[in-house]
Amino acid sequence: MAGKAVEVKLYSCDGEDFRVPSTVASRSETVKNMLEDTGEEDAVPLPNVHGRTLSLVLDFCKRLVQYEKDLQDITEDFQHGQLDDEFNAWKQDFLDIDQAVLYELIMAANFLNVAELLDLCCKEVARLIKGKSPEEIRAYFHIKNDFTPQEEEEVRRENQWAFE
Amino acid sequence: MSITELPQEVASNILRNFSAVELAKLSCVSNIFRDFCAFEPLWLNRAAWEFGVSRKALASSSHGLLGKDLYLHLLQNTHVTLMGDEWPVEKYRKLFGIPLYMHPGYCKAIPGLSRKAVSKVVLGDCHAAALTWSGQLFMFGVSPHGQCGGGACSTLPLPPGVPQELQGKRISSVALGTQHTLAVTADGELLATGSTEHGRLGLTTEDGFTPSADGNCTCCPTFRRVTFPNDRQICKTAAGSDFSCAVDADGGLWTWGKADRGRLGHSLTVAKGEQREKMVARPRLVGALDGLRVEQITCAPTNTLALASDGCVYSWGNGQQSRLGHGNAKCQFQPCMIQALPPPGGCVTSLSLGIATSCCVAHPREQSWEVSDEQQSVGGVGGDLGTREGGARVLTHGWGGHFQHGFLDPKTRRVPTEAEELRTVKVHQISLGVCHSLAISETGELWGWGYGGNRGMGMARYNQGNRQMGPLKLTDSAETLVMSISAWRNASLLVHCPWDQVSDGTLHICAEEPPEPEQPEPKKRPRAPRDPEKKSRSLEADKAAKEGKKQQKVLANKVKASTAPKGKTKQAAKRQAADDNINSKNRKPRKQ
Repeated sequence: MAGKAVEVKLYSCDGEDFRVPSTVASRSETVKNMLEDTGEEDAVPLPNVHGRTLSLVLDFCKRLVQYEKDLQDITEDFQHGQLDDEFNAWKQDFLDIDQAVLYELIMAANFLNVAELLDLCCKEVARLIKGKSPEEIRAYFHIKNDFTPQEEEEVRRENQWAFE
Repeated sequence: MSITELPQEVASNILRNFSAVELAKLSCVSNIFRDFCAFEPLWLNRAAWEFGVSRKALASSSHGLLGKDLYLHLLQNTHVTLMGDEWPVEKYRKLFGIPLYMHPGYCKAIPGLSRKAVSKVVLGDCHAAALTWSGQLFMFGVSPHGQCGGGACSTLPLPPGVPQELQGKRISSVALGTQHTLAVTADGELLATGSTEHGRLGLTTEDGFTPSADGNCTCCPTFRRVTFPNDRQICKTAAGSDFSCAVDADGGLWTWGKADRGRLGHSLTVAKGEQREKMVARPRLVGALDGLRVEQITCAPTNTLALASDGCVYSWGNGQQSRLGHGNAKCQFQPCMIQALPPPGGCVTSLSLGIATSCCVAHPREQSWEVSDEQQSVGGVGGDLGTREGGARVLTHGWGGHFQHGFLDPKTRRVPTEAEELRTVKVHQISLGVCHSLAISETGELWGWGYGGNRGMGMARYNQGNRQMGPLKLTDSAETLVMSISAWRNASLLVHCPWDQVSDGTLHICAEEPPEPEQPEPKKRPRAPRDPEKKSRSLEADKAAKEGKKQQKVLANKVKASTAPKGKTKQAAKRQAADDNINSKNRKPRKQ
């Protein structure tokens, strides 16, 4: 097995199948465990993940594997920063997606247990929320204010310390 | 799919990027957000991160408080306590006829600062500052040079108060010199108040302020904005006794004030016969650190230590007693990298300076908090103290005449050397005073070492009878958590949060008092009567006196009075004497 990339087969919930090197698929802890249990020949069904989301997750894993490989190959320190910059730029492009897709990606990253992707997406959502007042957040994320007047007063009083 | 449909544990992955204040604000969005934000581990994480106590310790000693309740307790039930019978320092009390700020009172809380959510305290010679989490800056003490701001100089003890001109401003950091105060606002302004002597405030006529022509003491008793070229945003500040430092948003270091002995780091090379510049009246960029970001900066009265983005530590200024860590006692006129830092396999995470003792805390490299700008702008990393538990190493250099460098002998360390005894402390935060040092452990306990006279460590007899001891645990985390410390001269100021919600803030010292010295002589510092070294010591003092070096004498006396004769070899004494001789060569009367 060593040296030769083994391909594994992943099935999304809508029946799409993906063939990826096992090094890429193993970035998902969930898939890695399944592969260890069943062997690398069997196709891995992923009933919780939609094809278009899985494709994004795998794109990320591929890039991550490449980044880590590049890191091992470099000889000079300054190249480290260069690789980081390239990867960060790639992430920026990668995150240029609809909010709804972003949440699906978070759910998939959570289910598949890809820590780096979960972290990246959660930071992106955090970035969207940061610096906004409760009113602005409601407007931006289309959230209804479902507090009763009493509840609203209570929650304000409870958290008054944060507004001082 | 919408954000509100995310399961709790997934949402908490997003919310761990937020500070406690932001979480509280988010709770006001809707019911689902309120539920999201009520998740206990989030608050435990925030408490550990913001108050600098490990999650493990918080979880085990939280007295039944959980989640947000735990966080709010730690935020709101703080007290500020002064330890020590000698504050303001004697020199100022005599000079201005100032009374003691607090009755000698065994670690009583300072009235007016209890339950004010104080996050950080800084102690100076005669004034002190307490900064709250919401950015209010309380000044107290005495303000003979206007160093407390508020519009007037006064030699009457001031109760803690926010100076009028700072009302409504959010202060993010504060630094005290002996006669001035610097504060950075959240908007990146630098404000200064106090004595303008030697140009230490960086204010000139352009700022609507005129120092007197002879450069002699004039005071600016009101916080005023110090201007920087191109309206640079300032994010950090530090102050020596008569000079000032500021770090701008790009990591550039600016210094100004008194320039002798290289304390400003500008090199100021001069042609032969010409005099070096005596003072720099406006902030000036330190060129030698060009291309590096200054991550941390701390000043002693006459020297400075900076941690730069390359992971190296730079020092400059007065080099007596090897306090710069370059292996000699020379002054450095520009930032000079300390060769011994960072230690192999480690990275320096914090710095602290006493007058002649310097210290760096280092953690194993894999435990460092690598906080990128991006993460910072997103509001703090998700990391917590738990990831670097137990790895702290303390490296000190400089004078240790009172064992304040953490070693069990008074020898001067010429280069940064690890004090092995301090490993047991598991240091999270450290503050060097002059003769004593304090540390907060990862579990929120207060530790102290060095000279504990005048109740500077909260105990009446600690270190009397010429006893020297290793680091001593002073408070118990089951009783109170210590959150911020500032040691200075023979006093200590600290923020602590007792678990007992109705506590009056009196700090209980859990360390056992050392046994009463035999044949106690009341009101007199007991001396070792049959000290074989005494003779040589007195000779040394006599010699110093003959040389007319007043400071030398004071120093030698101090050493004589407080170093342990026990276990001290003749060789060590000789070496110390040699050190003192080296140091006395270029000695001018030192401003203490």
